[in-house]
Amino acid sequence: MRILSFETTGQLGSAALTASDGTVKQLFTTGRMDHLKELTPMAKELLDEEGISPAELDAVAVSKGPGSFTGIRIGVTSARTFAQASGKKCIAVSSLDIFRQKAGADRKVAVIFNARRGQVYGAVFGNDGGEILAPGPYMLTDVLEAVKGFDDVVFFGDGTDAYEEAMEGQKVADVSERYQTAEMVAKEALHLLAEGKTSDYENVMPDYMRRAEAEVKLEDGTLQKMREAKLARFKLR
Amino acid sequence: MKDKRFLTLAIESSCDETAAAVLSGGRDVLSDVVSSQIDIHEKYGGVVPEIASRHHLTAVNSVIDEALAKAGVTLDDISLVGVTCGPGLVGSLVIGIAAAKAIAMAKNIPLVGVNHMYGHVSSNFIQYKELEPPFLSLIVSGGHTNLVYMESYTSCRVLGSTRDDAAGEAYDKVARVIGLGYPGGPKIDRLAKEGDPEAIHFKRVYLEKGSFDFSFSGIKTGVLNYVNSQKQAGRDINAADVAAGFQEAVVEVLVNKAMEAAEMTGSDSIVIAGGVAANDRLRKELSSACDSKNIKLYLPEKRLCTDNASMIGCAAYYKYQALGDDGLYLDAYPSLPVDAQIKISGDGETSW
Repeated sequence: MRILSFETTGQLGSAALTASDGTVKQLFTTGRMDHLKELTPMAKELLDEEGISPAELDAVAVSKGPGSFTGIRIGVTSARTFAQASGKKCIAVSSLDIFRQKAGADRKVAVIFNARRGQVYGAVFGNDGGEILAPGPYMLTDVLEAVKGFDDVVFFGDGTDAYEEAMEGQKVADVSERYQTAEMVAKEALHLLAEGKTSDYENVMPDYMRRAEAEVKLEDGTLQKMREAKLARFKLR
Repeated sequence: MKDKRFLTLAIESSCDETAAAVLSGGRDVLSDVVSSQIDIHEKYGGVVPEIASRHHLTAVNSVIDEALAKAGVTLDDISLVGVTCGPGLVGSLVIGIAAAKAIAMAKNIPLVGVNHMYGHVSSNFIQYKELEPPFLSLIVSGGHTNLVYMESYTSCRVLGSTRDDAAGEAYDKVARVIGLGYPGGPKIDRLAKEGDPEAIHFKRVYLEKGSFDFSFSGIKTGVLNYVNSQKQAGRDINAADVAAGFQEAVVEVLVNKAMEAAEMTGSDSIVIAGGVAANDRLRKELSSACDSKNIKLYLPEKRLCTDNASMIGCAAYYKYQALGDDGLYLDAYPSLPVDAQIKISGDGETSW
């Protein structure tokens, strides 16, 4: 099965291609701000190296979030449009869910992505990959509470860097496997493709896990208050 | 079999319109689709970047499909993909560029990044088939106010720029203060027709003699101070007179500077571009000023003034002819200068 995968929700972006022998080849962006610039060149390089054309792919996979809002959009738009242009099916996976792969008999997995101000997008998976804490937006303290009493939990994700102090006394995964990658997306996508779980590109939607701040402020009336305060300040002058 | 014509698919998403178009050659528009978010941002009193980005993502693929369908072609017929790569809101730009790159890669089609400002000027090439550079151009939009001398299809010399607010930005801010809301340009233009432009005089700012730069924050502040002082004195404000007086001040400066620039450059024509070029008062005043000086005025119809993908397709076509393609390393350049032309080498080296 030939799957081209994109992962752009974290600090480094990556693209991966499953080779005919089942192995996965993967490339990373140079820096933290290069997701848009380098994603398609990486994908092209992978295809060229394997000597296959976009038409020979079985599917396009992407991690739909959560993570960086702009990063999510780069990956999802690239995957949607690539699938639209090449007539391929899409497979969307959660950037938290793909960390189930890291669970095993010897370790449970806690994933935390930094969502600032003590918040995370997080999940906790048991030794068999089952959910101890379902993927979602949480306070960091919620995740720490969920892992209490277990001694085989390993933490993953960029939240471990952002909340370094809170990680004291916790096991944190080595940097070589700490973050979400296109290879992890590809592995999950292979399972889903085998089960026939693909989507048409127009049904692949980002999973931000959070509404836009302005939307929340409009609904709870904060936006109106801010506007009034601004006008009142102006009147005093 | 591939269409024999040279067809360009263009995508534009630099602010709050998601747009796609198909052109044959540089000037023949086969389809032009715009999905506007104005209704969404109206409730917020202006464009909210995060919300704009989210809507671009859900709109862009169907907008592209519709543009292809209306042109009666498929991606297999397309010879070139052009996309706005700056200036603009970064989160918005990203969507059009990611989509354009994915198509270019999937279909192995050359890709060109277009400076939005060259796009605005190019809307005139679509309407006026005989128009060719060099010429003098006044570009007025929500983000920019520039007088440029277009030396060729792909290069220009900037004669003047705004030192603070763009004209369209001043419109939006004044509209907010007199309670008209977003988008300010068309709302002030409409209300001003009911007002007396002479009733309230706002100071015109021309800067130093011979300068082609603009400053609109002074006019805007003049309006704010006037509104404030009237409110303080308990007097009602005639919003129509305020709108008309403000608009008169802005338009007068724009027209006079454009006419001076024409004289300085020895131009016998002026080409207008940008969203504010849809303003009725500006169109009328420019027409009469040009008539009196025997200068030919190029004024695109209104739908070509506001953001659209046809103009991007036109600019992409001429850039590709002159400079070749940019390839897959294209990125978003939110602060791209008005005269800059992005050029990317095969290994991703970027210059302008």
